[in-house]
Amino acid sequence: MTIRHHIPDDMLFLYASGDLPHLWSLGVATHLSYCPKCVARLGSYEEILGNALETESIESVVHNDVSSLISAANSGSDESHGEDGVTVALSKPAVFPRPLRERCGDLDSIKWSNVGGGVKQHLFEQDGAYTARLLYIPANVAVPAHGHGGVELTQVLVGGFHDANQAFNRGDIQVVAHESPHQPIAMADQACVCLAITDAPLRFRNLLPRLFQPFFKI
Amino acid sequence: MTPQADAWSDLLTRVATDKDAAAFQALYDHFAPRLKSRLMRNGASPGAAEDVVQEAFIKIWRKASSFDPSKASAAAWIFTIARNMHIDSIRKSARPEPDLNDPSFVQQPHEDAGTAFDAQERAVLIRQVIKTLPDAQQTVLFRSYFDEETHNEIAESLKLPIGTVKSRIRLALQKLHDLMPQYFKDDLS
Repeated sequence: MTIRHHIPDDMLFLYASGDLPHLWSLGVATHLSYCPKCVARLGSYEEILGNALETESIESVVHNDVSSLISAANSGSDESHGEDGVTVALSKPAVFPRPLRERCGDLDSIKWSNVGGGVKQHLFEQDGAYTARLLYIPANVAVPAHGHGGVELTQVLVGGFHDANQAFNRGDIQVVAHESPHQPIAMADQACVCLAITDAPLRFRNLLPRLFQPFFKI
Repeated sequence: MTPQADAWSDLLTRVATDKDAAAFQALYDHFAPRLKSRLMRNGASPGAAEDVVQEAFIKIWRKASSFDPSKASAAAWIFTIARNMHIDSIRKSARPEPDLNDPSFVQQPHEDAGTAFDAQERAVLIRQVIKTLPDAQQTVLFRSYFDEETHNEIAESLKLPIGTVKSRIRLALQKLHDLMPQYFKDDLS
C-alpha cells in the first residue's frame, strides 16, 4: 500500500499539540494507522513541542515530593497495568484500524442507511458541529455532488475513488474546504468505503486561519 | 546532542530499569513546573493543571519501560503522556490514537532511510532548529496553537498587534519548513 495523500501540516501539528477537535482526531488517528510517513512527521512535531518545554516558563507545583506518586503508581489497580504490548489474536483480520473500530465496530457489523443511487451511509458520532459517518459507494458510482461551508475529511478504508483529476486509494486521506462542490466517484473495479468527517464553516475559520493558506496550500 | 538532552533520556531509562526514585524526582523537578505552565496557558486552572501533571507522572512511573530512546526523546515522550492525560481528563474518554500493536497497523519499514531520521538525529536537528528561531518567534509559536481566539489573547498579553503575532507565527513555521522539509506534507515523496 502506497499512501499518496497525507494529513495537512497544520492539522497534524494540532493533533500533536493536543488541540485538534475530537472528531478530526479520529480521522487523523485512522490515517496514522495506515501511514508510516505521517507517524514519522507526528513524531517530529512531538519532538518540537516536547523540546520547546525547555523554553517554557516555570509554574511552581504545590506538590514537590514524588514518593506519594510512586506509592500511588505501585498500589493502584489502574487499567494501565499490563496495557502495553498486549495483543489479542483476532479470529479474522480487521478491515478498519483500531481507533475507528472502537467507535463504530468493524465493517461487517455496520448498519447502513440508503441515501440514494446505491450510496449508503452510517452516521455514528456527532460532537457539536462535527459529524462522523461512514460512506459506502458502489463501484463506478458518483456521490451526489455536495457543496457546503466548512471542511470535509475523507479517509479511504476500502477501495478508492476519483475526485477531479486525483485518485484516492485505501489509506489515502483527502481534506478539502468545500468552497466549490466536488463529486467523488468510486473506482470502477470495487465498492469504496470511506470515513467522512465534516464540520461547520464557523469552526473551520477558527481552526485553520486563512493566514496559513499560502504556506500550507489548503 | 546536548549533554542535558541525553541526560533526561538516561534518567527515564533508569526509572524503567532500576525503579530509580532519585531519577524520577529529577525528571519531576524539571518537567512538572513546565508542563503545569503549558497546561495553564492552554486554559487549565492551576488546580486542574497540577492534577493532570500528578496523574501524568504516575503514568510515567508505570509506563517508563515502554520508553524507547531510539524512537523519541524523553521530553517528547513525557509531553505526549501529559497531553493525552489532559485531553482524557477534559473529555472523560480516550483520545483517538493509532495502536502500534493492532495487527492492521502499518509498520514503518526498517530500511526506509529516506523517510525518517533516526530518532536521535531528529532530536538533535529539532533542538538546533528551535534554537535558530528568534525568541519572539518561539514565544508566539508555542503559545499559539494556531486558532484565532488564542492569537488575540497572545496579542493582548504580549502587547503586540494581532498582525505582528500572525506574521511571527508564519515566519517561525516557514523556518521549520525550510529546515525540515521532510516533515511537511507538500515535500513528502
